[in-house]
Amino acid sequence: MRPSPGVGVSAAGDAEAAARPLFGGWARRLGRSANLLILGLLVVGSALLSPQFLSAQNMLNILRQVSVVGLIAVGLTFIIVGGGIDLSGGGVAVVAVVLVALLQAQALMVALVLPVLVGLLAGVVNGLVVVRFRIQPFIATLAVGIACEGVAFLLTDGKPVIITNTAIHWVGNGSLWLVPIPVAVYLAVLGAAAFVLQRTPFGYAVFGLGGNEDAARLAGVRTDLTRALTFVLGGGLSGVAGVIMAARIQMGDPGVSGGLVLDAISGTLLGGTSLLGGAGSIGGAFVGVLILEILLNVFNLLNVSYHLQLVARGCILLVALAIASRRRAQ
Amino acid sequence: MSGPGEAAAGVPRTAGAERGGPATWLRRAQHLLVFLVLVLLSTTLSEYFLTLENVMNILRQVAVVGLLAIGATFVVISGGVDLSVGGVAALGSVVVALTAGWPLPLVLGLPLAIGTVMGFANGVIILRLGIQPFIVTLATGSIAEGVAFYLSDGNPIRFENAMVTGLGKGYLGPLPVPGLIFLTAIVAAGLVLSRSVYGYAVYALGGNEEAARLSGMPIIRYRVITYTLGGALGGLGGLVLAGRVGIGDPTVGAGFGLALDAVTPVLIGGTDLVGGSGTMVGTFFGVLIVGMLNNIFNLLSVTAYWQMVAKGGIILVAVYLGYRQARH
Repeated sequence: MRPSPGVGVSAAGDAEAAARPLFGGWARRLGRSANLLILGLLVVGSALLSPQFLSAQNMLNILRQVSVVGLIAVGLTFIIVGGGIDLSGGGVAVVAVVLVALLQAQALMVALVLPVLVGLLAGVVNGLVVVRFRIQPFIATLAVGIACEGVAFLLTDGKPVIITNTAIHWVGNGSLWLVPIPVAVYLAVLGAAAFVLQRTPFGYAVFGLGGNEDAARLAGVRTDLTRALTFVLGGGLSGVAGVIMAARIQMGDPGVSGGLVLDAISGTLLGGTSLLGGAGSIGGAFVGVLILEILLNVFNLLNVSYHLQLVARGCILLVALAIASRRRAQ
Repeated sequence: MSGPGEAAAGVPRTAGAERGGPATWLRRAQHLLVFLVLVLLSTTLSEYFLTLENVMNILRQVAVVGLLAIGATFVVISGGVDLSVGGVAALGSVVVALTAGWPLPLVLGLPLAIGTVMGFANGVIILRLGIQPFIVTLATGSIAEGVAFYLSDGNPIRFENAMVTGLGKGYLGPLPVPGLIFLTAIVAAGLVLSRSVYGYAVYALGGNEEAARLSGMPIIRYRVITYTLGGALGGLGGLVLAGRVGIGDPTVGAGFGLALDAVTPVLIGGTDLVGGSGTMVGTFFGVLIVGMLNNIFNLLSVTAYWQMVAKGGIILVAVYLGYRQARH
């Protein structure tokens, strides 16, 4: 990887990579508790600003929204920690959204699983072009994402397809005991992903890859395979996010990808994952996405126009970048 | 990483090296080859293709993307990338529509000024935070697009202003005015890139920033200038675009679609995404190739959705070929 043009980026990155095993523990804990503080303040402030905020209905709403963006963010965390980036999450998710609608007459398992497989396939394409053809991840995934959006529009001829299958509605809006199904899926994925990233050889390999690729290779990590797998994982999770989104909005709408990727990236970076790779956590991504979605929810409750929210989203991403850059400098 | 040998030596490619060397000529000839094949193909596909009217039509259609691609050439050669130009162009076009009744210098100047400020902000933020340009411009681009949506309430705004529409769809003799603007701009930009101190600096920034720094080059200033130039051309693109359709449209950025459209011809033109090499001539042919492809798609009535899929594929192929060339 070529260091990005910027002042002292590569030096800071090396220092960070070197420091991780020694100081990673407390630095990360500090970062996380700062985020928890922000989260606490945000909840209290939101409750004061809007009485509806703390209603059970609104809380469930936030959690459902968090699960869609959060699933993409889980995949992104793997990819970014491994030193890559994936801008195709929105496009991949929207293909899955459309597929769920088109397959709704089939068996439930087919309608729910096939879109995820297609997401995995998109991830394979991303992984292949990145490791085999050595195309920079941001442009490769941007191109794949746009192609995916094109496919989604092609599949439905540009028109949204209503989902009438009530079993699919249940997936999006039903609950297991008290936990909404999207949230249950998200929490299960969170747990599994945190375990894989922090406790398995694959997880170590991903950290090694993002921290110092040459060192990882010399230590026996199959770097290309590992990197490709992070993209496959990201594609699959974007597919899952798309399935849940389709079930929630009960429509296969090819135009819903807007903002998904940006939100997922913002959430991941807010959670302390470094864009240079080699540092980050699944728990951080969870808190980051939660912070982001609560902010957006408050904007909604305060009737901030959708268009101003677009501006705010960009600003939030900039703030996340500034925080990440400051964290690195320390 | 540029030509053979140069990458290993770590010497930034200069315009002097650009001129010589069989490898560079081969590279240039390659676009020419693709270009000629496309012309032949198009003529056999449709007899309408090689009419003066259609050629001028293509020139008119490529003008906006071409203007953005000029900026992208500087930015990419310097080792950066700017994904915000689509949002900047959208904002520019909306501002033109909203201010169409104001005094002419303001109508023409505001979109340029906004683009310049956005580009300047891009440069400062990228250098200040030391963060990859693609993500910073992703953020600023979505802010610009959001502001465009906010100002227009999400709706296209029709406007009347003879001067602006003249810039967008007027003709000087057989030549479309936007095409003329594009041609003038790209010739000027080509001269700046290959003949000026600033142009050499752009190659040096992308080729070997450390060497450029050690040789006493004010690299921060040159980088900021490069992004500012890209932003200003984005604003100009928005102005011409608004004039072409007589509408200020917040959706023209198409997420990051337009920014990608602006980078595609640069990559097709042989400019390597890692920076340090590339030519404005390459970008010119890249713009024509993309314009002709779109024209062929339209003549064959390929739907917009297929064109989106094709767009993704074309970029991947262009970047891959650039990578292979850089390696050999």
